[in-house]
Amino acid sequence: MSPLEPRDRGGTAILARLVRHRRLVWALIRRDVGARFAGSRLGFFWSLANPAIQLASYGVIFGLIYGAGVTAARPGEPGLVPALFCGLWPWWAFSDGTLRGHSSLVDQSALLKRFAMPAEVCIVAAATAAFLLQIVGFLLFLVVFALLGVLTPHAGWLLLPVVVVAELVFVNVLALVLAPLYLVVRDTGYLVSAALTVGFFASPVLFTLDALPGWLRTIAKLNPMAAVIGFYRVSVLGDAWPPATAIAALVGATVALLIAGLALLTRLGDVLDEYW
Amino acid sequence: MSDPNAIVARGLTKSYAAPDGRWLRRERIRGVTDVSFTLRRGGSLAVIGRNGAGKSTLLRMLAGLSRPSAGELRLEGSTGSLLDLGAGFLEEWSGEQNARVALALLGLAPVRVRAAARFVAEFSELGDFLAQPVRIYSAGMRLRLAYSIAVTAEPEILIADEVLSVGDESFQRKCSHHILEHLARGGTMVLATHNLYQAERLCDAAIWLDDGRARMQGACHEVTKRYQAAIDERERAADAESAARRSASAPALLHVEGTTRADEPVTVPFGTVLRIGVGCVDGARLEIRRVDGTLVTALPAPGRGTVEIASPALLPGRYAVRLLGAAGARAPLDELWLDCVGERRELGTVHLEHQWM
Repeated sequence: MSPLEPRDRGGTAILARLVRHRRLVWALIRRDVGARFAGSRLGFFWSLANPAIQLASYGVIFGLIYGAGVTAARPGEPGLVPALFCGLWPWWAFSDGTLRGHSSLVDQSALLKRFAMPAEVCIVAAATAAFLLQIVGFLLFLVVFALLGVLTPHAGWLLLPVVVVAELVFVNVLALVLAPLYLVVRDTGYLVSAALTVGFFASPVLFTLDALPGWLRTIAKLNPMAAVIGFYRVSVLGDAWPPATAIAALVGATVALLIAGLALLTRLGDVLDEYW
Repeated sequence: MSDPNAIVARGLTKSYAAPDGRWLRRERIRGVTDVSFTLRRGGSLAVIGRNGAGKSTLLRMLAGLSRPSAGELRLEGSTGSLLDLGAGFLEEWSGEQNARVALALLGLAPVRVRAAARFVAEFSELGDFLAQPVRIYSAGMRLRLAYSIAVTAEPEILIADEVLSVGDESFQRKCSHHILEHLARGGTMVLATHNLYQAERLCDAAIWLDDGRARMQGACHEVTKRYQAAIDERERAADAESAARRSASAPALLHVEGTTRADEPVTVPFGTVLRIGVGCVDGARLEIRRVDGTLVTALPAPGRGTVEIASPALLPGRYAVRLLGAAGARAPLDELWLDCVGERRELGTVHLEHQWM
C-alpha cells in the first residue's frame, strides 16, 4: 500500500478512499473487537450480560411496578419485554457506535502515528465495530426469544438486514461529523454524552410514539431515531410503520450529516494529523 | 516504472497550529519550510540536523503519516516506515496476534499474512515470546517485533529514524545488515540520524536541516563534513572561553613547531609530519581527541621535549591536543587545537598505512 494519500479534494474522493481501503477498515474492526475483549476470559458474555440485566430491569419496572406497562395497554400487541427489546437494543447500538466513532481519532492516536491511514477509515471502523457488537447481541437475543416462544418468526424479519444497514449508515455519518470536531476541540465530548442522554428519553425507546399527547408527538416525530426504532418494531414485532415525518427526518439527517462530515474532513484534512 | 526517481519533493512545507490558548488559533509554527529534493530509485538520503530541526516532521510526511501544508510530494513505490516503532501494539495481545493485525493494517492481503507472520517469527527471533502478551516484552523485544513487521512486505522505500541506535547490539547488527541488503537489492532509503558515521556509511546523498529549512544538500560526505565543521565550531566556541580562562593563568606548555599560539587552530595538511613541543612535568600524559571526544591516543610524556608523530595519520577534522597532569587531575594543563585538512574518502579518525592487493 502506498500510504501517501493524494491531496484528494471533495466528498466523493473521501468515499472512494473508504471503498479502496475496505480491507483496512475490516482489519481495524477486527482489532477493535479483539481489543474490547482482550485480557478477559468471558468478554463476549459480559457484553451480553449487561444489556440483558438492563432489559430485565426495565421489564420489571414497567411491567410490575408501573403495572400496565407501555405497549401492553393495546390489545393484540406483543408483550412489554419484546417492545422494550426492540427499543433498547437498537438504541444501545446507536449510542455505542456514536460514542466510539466520536472518540475514535483520539482513542486510536497511537495507531494513527504508526500506520498511514485516512481519518475516515479510522472513524468508520470504530463506529461500525461498536455498532456491530451490539447488533450481534440483539440477533442472539432475537433467536433466544424465538426459541422461548416469546416472539414468533415471520416474514417481516427478512427486513432486518435492511433496517440494520440503515441504522449503521446513520451512525457512521454522525460519527464522521463528530470525530474531527472532538479531535480538535475536546469540549464536544461533554455535549455528545449529554445529547445521548436526552436522546434516549426523547426517542421512543421506553414508549411508542402514539402513546404521546398530540403536540409532543409532533415534535418527537422529527427525531431520526424514532424512524430507526420504528423500523425495528415493524420488522420484528409487525407494528405499524413509523410516521412519514420520522422517515423523512432520518433520510434528511443522514444526507445532511454525510454532506457535513465530508465537507468537514475535506476542510480539515491537512491539519487533522497535527492533533494525533 | 519508467520514472528513475523514487521520491520527488517540491517546496515541502508543514506548519502546525500554535496552541496559544485562544479559541480561534491563527498562529502557525513552521515545522519544515520549503524543502525540495529528488531521490533516485536505489538511492539513499541522510537527513541530518540538530534536535528540532524538522527531521521527524519531514520523515512523517514522506511516510504518509502527515500531510504537507504546502508543496508537492510524489513517491513511486511501496513505502515502509520505521518511525515510532513499537507504537500501536495492543498490550494484552500476543506478539503473534499483534503481528497479524499490524500486517493487515499495512495493507497485506489475507493470503499473504500467514507467510508474512512466519517471516516475522523468524526475523524477530522472539521464539516462544511470540505467544506471550506484548505487555511483558522488554523495549528491545518490542522493537524487534515492530521492525520485523515493518520490513516483512519488503517495501521499496524505507523511511527510518535513528532506528539503528536502539535495541540490543546483535539486533542492531541485524537491522544494519538488513538495510545494507535492502540497498544492495536496489531499494531506496531515507534515514534521519545524528550519527554521521552511519550516515556516511549508508547514504550517498544528504540533506542538512536547520530550523526547518534545507541549509545544505548534496553528496553525503560533503554535507556531513560541513555539518561536522559547524558542530565543531559551536563546541569550540564553548571551549574557547574556558581555554582563554586557563591560558591567562597557566604558561603555554604545548606548541606545534613552526607555529605560534596565535595561529590556533593550527592547520595541519594531511600527510605532513607533526611535531609538538612539550614543556612538561613528570607523570604527565599527552592526549589527542577528536572534537566529538573520541580518544585517538594517550601518550605517556617522558618529560620536557618534542614528540614527533611520524606517521601523519589524522584524518581531516578538528582535534584537541591536551596535556594532562598526574593521574586523577581532570583539567588539562594545556590544550591546543588542530585542524587537519585534506581530501580523504576514508571514515574514522586515523589513516592506517594500507595497500589493496
